[in-house]
Amino acid sequence: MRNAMRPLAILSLAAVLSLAGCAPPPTPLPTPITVQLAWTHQAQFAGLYAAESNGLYAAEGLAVSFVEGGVEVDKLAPVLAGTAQFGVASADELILARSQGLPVRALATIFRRSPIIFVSDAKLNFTRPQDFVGKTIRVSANVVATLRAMMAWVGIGPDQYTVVYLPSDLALFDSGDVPVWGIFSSSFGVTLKQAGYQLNTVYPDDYGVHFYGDTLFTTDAYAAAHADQVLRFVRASLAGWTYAIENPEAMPAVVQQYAPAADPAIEDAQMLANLPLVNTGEDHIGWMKPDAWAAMAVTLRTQGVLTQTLDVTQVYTLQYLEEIYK
Amino acid sequence: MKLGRLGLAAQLALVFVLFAAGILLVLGLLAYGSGRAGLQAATESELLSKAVDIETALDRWVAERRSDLTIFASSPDLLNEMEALAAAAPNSGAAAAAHAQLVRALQPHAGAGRPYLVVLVLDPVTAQVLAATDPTEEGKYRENQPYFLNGRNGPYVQNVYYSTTLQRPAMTVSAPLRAADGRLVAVLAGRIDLAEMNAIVQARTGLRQTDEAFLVNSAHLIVTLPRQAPNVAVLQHGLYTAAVNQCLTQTSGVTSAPDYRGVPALIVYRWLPERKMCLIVKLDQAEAFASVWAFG
Repeated sequence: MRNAMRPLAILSLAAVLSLAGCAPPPTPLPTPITVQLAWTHQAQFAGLYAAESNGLYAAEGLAVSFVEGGVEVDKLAPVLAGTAQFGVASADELILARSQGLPVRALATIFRRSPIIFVSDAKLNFTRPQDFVGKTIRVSANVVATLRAMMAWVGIGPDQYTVVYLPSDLALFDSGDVPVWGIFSSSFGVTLKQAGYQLNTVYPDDYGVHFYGDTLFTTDAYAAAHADQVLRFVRASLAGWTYAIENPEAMPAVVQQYAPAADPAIEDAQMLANLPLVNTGEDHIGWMKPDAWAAMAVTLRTQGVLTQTLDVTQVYTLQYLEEIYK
Repeated sequence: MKLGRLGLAAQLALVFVLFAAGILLVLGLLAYGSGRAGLQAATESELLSKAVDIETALDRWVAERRSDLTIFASSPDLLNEMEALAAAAPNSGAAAAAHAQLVRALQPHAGAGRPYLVVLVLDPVTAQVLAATDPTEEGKYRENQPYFLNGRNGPYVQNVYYSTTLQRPAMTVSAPLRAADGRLVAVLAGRIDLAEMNAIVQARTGLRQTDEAFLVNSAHLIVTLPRQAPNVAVLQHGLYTAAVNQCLTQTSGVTSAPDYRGVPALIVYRWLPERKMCLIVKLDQAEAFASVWAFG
């Protein structure tokens, strides 16, 4: 009996082996990617969340996780150290970092109009940068260069006002201890409006400062070693932002997956405020213009914020955008 | 009951009745199709005619605003006021008086019921707003605005753009203010009231119950409101309908497709190259085909 079964066993083994040979190769595990955000979870990053929740990163073979930023979080350091592969920072931060020899490289600009504004209680009657002389101004890392450039544009030096780094916190704003707040119109600005504050707003755009806002970046070394991963990440991120722009009403629920305590009404209002900043109606989502980068560097240098020598073309690359939108 | 049990006459009668019914059905379908096609062609023609009418009216309106500002910029009185301001020592009493006089010269041109919402006088080098009918505009800089850059050379229309500081769409015309010797003294700019643009577009609709016309900018955002807009918030999100998407590829055409409410409509979309915007003129299919549907 045992001998009679032997040919059958051999045939079965051969069949199994041949079937194993015909089976599709195992799907490679997605590449883990960490993104260092510029701030806490909110609609400011809606397009990245949309890319994740809609499976756009997964379709590119990436398993993306996000790390929150904050007022005390150095968002460049994790990317430079390699604990995060990509980050979100403002364009001026990247210019200044590059001028200090840090090998950061901008890949795509999400906020092609800067959301930075300076607000104060309307009762204080501050209507122009000159009114900020002698005052304390709340900033965060991605606001301070804009403040310096705007004040310098109207001839006010950094010794004529005081900056303080604070989180965007309603209670702190309400205390009135800091009269001028440098904030994002599309995030804390929305929160303040919803809370009913009567505000005066000073726009850097009115005083010679026209910077790009949130920009995706990586390091030279990572881009050189993983150009394909960079391409796939940028492609999925921009597709996520395109989805978010075309479906803003869906975004509050997506944001809540990352920030469960977020107020959907505020996230919806933030998303509406994001639309004209992200989709300018010119070029593609994420597109960057060399002229705009050059103009930002000139503004920073003219206003004394950028002091080191810098080849601004080293701050960014159009390689991935050109590949994606060819 | 089997046909075979009927008499020959009855069978023949039945065949003729069925044949006649068939002919009637075919003729009915042909008539329905023909009527529907005729109505569709007539409706498309009507919508296209409205679209052309609106485009012409918009171009005329913009040309008038540009012409008004150009004439104002060549006014000797305005030039005198501007030169007085330029000649006065900064922050002096003479400068304050000249500034007040200049603003008084601007005021008849701006405000409700006047050609412009706001009129600005810009320094030709720094682009600083030297005088404005809205005092909050003074002291600001417009050095990167096309209406400043191009307005130094000649009359210019900056089509609808998103104003970061106004946080809404705006449209501005500009013209150089030149001395008798041709020297550039200032740039004069007037921000156009987009409510007027809305009125021009709306004036061509309303003859039908569901006809609508509206403008969409290149960022897919509504510039003038559709009559039947369910709520403004929906429209703030931007329009990504098939007609708008197609139109923003800078093409014009006609389509039968769901509109921004998801209601089937006959839609004429027209790219306005002069305005760099998309004009949508539409009518609900239910209204367009009501008579044939009633017949059907």
